[in-house]
Amino acid sequence: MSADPAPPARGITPFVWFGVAIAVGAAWALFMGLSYYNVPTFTESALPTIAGVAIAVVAFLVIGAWAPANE
Amino acid sequence: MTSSDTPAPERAAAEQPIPVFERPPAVIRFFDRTEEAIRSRLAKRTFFRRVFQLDRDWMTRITMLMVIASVFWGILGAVDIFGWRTQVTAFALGQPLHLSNQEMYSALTLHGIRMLFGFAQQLELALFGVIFVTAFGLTPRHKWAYYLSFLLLNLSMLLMEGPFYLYPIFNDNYFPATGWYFYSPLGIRGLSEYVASPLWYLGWIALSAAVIIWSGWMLLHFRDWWRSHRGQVHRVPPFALFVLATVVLIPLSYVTVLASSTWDLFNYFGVGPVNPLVNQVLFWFFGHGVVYVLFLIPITAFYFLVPIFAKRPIYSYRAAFVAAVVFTILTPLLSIHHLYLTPVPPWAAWTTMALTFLIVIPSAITFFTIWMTTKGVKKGEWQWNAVTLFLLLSFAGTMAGGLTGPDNNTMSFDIDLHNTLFIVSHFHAIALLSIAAGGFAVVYAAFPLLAGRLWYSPRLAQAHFVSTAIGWSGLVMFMDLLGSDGILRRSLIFPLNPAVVADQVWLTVFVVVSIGAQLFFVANILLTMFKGELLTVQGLSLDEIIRKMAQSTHPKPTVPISDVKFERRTPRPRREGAERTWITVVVVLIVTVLVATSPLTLSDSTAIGTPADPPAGSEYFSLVGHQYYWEVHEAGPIVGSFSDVMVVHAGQWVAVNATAEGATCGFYIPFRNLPVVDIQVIPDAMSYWLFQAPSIPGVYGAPDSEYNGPWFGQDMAALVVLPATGTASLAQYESNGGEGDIYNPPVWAANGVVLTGDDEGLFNNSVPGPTLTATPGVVSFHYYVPMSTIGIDNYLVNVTSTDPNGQQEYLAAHGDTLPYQFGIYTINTTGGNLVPVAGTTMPLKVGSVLNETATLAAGVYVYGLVSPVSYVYNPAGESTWMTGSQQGQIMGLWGILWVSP
Repeated sequence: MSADPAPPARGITPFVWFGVAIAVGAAWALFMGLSYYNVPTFTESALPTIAGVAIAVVAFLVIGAWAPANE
Repeated sequence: MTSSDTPAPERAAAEQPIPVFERPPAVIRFFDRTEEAIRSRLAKRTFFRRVFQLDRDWMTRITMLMVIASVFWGILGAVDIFGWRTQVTAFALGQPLHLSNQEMYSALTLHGIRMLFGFAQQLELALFGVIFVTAFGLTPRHKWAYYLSFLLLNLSMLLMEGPFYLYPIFNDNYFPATGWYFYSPLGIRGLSEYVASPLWYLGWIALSAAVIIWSGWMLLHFRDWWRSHRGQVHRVPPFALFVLATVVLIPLSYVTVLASSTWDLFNYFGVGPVNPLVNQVLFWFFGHGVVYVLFLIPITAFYFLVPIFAKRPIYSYRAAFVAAVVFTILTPLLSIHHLYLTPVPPWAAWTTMALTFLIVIPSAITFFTIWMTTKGVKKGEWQWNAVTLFLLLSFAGTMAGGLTGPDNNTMSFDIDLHNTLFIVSHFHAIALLSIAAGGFAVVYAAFPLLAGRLWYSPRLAQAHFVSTAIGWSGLVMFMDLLGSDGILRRSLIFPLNPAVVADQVWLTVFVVVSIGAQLFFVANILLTMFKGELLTVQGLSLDEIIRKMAQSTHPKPTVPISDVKFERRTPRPRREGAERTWITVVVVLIVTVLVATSPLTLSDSTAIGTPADPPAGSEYFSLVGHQYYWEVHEAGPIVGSFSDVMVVHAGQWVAVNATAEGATCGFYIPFRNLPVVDIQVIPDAMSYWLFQAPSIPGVYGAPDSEYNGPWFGQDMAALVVLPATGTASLAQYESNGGEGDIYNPPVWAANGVVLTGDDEGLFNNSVPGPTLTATPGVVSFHYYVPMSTIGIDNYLVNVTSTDPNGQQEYLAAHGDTLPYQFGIYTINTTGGNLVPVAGTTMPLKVGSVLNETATLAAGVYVYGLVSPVSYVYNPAGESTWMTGSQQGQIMGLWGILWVSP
């Protein structure tokens, strides 16, 4: 292994990439739940949970963006 | 991770003189000498020395053995699922099947067993053990306890595989077709028609002993570390909290499977009784716990590796601590959320639902804490190598899989999902995209430490990551698409509608991609062991060593591996304030969702466990689930007793009470335009449900949703909905899509059709067979059971011998005729049951196209073999208490004939 090179400083940070991973994973989970929209009991049985998950994901991203950095 | 978080490794002398009074017992010395003799001989060969690390310390050697064994079981698990998928795809495409039902379902069982325990569990133990010892700078002790754990674990895999015959002909039809999780009393001699070998239960006991020994070993070493560092450290490193959680949760989880397996084993030998529901609850304390134990692989990987690559400590230690504690407390309590559709008390279902929602909290803390750990890291300070890429995949995968967990946990929603491929999709999102991805991150970070060499090929690592991510994502997606259509898990037999066929084929494609992807990994492992650059660690901290090893998976690394001095600028109260805000939101949401879903949860759970009070004019179904058909007794406006046929009038309310004999069953009608019907039916218990039949007359598929043995796929009933008055055609039923029930048999015009038997003993890959329609008057159709479909696994010819041509020979000796009456039967709804139409019944003849012709009035008829066919598998007396056995009552060649103007 060669000596440590100097790192580039600009570009998308790992924090953003992990945020994207969260958004993509969560979108998939919501899609999976919503695929039951055609079951008549969906609104009563499933929607509260799916809505709760959706709100949680948004809150997660917003609070994460607002929170102080790990410095 | 800063150096203050992890004690520097201490290099203890491997071999030191031992005082005479501390000499180990003679048996241990004998083992030591024997091991040394074997090791020194094998070490002379480069291959063995490199692969088994025979010139290293014993901890490395055993760890390497565990890694190799886990890869071995992983490969077998992959072969298992490949075998299963080939048969599913063959069925989907109407091609011949080459494996017996027993082999197919055993492959599925062993896929789960080998992947979860032989591969994942063993890899977890191996990695956690070596990381724990290395990171804590411990001198490992009790070598033979560790060896014993390793040996028992792998012995358990062999025991669970069950016996097979090599002579007089190879016969592996005694592999256990039981399911990686219990469907008590499935498999128990005297209680179930399908009987597994007692080796299966002994295997569970050996597995439990193996991991409990490992946990004890870990606890002893943790105690060593704690004693030697008392007063020197003020806290356990964050990742070690989750290793400790694993060590605590393993005995808590496995003790329940030890108990349920022992209980099953006693019942196997007639010492009972077993209470199936209690036994299942007991098992699921393990079944749930073990998945969470495995989930601690990615969790530990995040806490261990993200701070190392971010070169800064975890965002909030207190949050991590709380997450570990809450996770450990709640995990053992969640058994019943797998059994919502059984008649458990509503309070138990609701309480488990609430507790399961609460376990979201430690995960929410973890993912917020880990994500925030990366906040402030600049692009140029972070390297996307194989370790960090797999961490990223695991992060996304945990979201995809984990956030569908609340769907499953909402009891009223679970009715729609239970036992469908949605569950399997959720499980694989967690098992692959979360757990295995996190596991690969750890392997890429730690394997060079074992091999003593850096990764050989960054390109192979990249190819492995990309192809794995594509394969796993694809298979999770297509499982979900099938599941949301209502397709059941574990069933070879499914409706051949074009969308289902396409999704099944794509699912197989992605399974193959997933398996192929691992070849890159295996190739890199082998090349690394033999050609990898030697790893030198002098002067490096543990964090630097790990970065160095990870960097070898990147073709052109740009980020320095050296530690950097970290000075905390954001005070703890601000960071913990953000954590508290997030957790407050989560708690408020959990309470809100719980309040919103509780009324339906309580009413649904009550409905399953309590007899219904139906409106006047309701139909009463008394169902007994057998292996493998429903015995139906009806009372109300329609009176009769049938097999697999349930008859109601359009729009009629139906009160169901159901129990099972032999094994747990599931009464399932996956409507999409009407509420889904889905209850689990347990022996020695009664399950209830009340539902309204479709208002559109037709034939609705009602598959058994709970796996109960190798003929489970044939176990499908028909809900025959008659018009409220008079007659009705199926035109509205067809245009409506049969209320969205994907298991409805296809509708074909009767006159002139040729119904053709297949390898599974069905007509045209459908059970019930195609619904035939005709107008009143002369109705004529043909049926044909080809000789080519008759083989060792076709239940129709009940001859089992070691002669592969035994069944054909039986047919030749009996004029190709079987002792079952094929015919057309009137459904008598006033107590007459099924009445043969005069002149239509005839013995089933194989290899000839036969004609059925009758003059029929408007009405609904049943055609085919309307009683179950007894099947016993016992080639040359090989079925014994030791090998296991299978028998059952199977219905496959039947369907509904609908005659209307």
